[in-house]
Amino acid sequence: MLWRTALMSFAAVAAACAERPSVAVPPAAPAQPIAAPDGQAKRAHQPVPKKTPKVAARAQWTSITGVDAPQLAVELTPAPGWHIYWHSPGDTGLATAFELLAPRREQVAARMPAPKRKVSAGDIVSYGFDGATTFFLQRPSAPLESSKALTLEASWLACAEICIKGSKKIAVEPADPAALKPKTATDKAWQALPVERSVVWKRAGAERVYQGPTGSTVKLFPHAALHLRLDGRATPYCRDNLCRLPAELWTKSPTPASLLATLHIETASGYTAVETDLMKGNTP
Amino acid sequence: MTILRVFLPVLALSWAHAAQATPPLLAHCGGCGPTHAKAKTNHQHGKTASVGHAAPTFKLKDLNGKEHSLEQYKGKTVVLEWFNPECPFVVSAHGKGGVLENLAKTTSSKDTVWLAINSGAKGRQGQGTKVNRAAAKKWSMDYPILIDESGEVGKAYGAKTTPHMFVVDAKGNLAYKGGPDNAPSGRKGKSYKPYLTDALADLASGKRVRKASTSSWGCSVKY
Repeated sequence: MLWRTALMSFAAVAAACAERPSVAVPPAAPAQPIAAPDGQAKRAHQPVPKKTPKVAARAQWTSITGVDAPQLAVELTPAPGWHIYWHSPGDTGLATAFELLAPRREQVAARMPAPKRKVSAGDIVSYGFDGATTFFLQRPSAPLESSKALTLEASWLACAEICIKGSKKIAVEPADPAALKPKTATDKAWQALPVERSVVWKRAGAERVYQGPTGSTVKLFPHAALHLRLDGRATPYCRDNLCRLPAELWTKSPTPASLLATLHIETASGYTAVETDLMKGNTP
Repeated sequence: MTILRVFLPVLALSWAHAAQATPPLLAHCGGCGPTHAKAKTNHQHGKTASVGHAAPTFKLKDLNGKEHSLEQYKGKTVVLEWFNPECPFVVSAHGKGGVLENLAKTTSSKDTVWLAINSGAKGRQGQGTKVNRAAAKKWSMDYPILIDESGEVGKAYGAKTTPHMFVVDAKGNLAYKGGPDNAPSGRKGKSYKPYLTDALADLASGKRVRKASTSSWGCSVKY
């Protein structure tokens, strides 16, 4: 049950992707003990961690440098050896989700950083997080108001050798936007969020390819619809700065209106995460 | 000679796949043969059971040691349920109000049979006769639980999760693969889709399954 070095290995997109500054990461970021490189499934069975799979959860209003409105940040930290899942969990798992319980009950969307990719025996591909991860909550209809006390519930599936569902109710105190000061950690977490951007996939025979900047390392994480359409084949999709996908994705009937993916593009100086719709800017 | 006898058909199958010029996304299981060896071969090439093509055949023993093969059910619709009695998703699905609580009972007939398959490797969660027998009793499962300890059948089908549902039609072709529904959390909201029930209804009325491939959900198969 090993994760590969993924999250720490983002890259900065060069000029074309520079709507915002790249996030600087150490060139040789130390891999976490359970991390495992992309694309190579570990077949050895890992022992079940002895600790209860507690997921620490906390939430706070925070100010982000360069962003006007205060943001509600939730940090989830699975116990060592355990992981939780991205919004598109892959072949297995359950998306980490958030619900507002008060002042009124409603689902809220979470902006999530790029996940790590895990391949288990049987070519089972999953996407998730195994360390402290910050999620930023948003309400599609109207901004969340920092002036009111909130109660939210975070729910997750925590897995190691086995999986256990969990949830936690979190009370969030009101905050005065004028009194909030940006913090390095939340600024960094915010900058790690994918930005929406269309990228060009060039035709290359039976495939289409996306080429990142020279010297970069690109990783592709398919959202649920794309994952289903790929049917678990041809992972990993990228090597070095080149990603390849079957051209049929764009043409096979029925043609989807949208196929979302998250790209991580890492250079020596940092990384950028891009959320892109394959069906936009790329004719079938 | 023994080695040649075993591997020559395998090589022939590999070339057959290459010559079909099947696009990667449509890589099918048309070459899946009637033996475990061929199913395993397909897996080695990344080819797993594909909707609309021949389902990998198999022979597996149930908890009582009785052998079951896909061949013996030809002419019937066969529902294959990948199973792990200790997976919380399976527990929830078979428990009170779960999507699989009574589905086998209500859909089984002289024309439709259910088979659960446990592809857990020895020593892993949910593996072993005792725990499977206890689950079958607890959930009143009156259909066989087949043991696939090597995982060969699971991998030939591309079974990823428990539960993961596959439906083989009367002609032996894979007609559906995916989740039993679209509610992994068990909450059946407004957008609830009972995929498996719909697929079985389509087949029973002689139609092509309209939603033949869906996302599965659950625990990973403990290969």
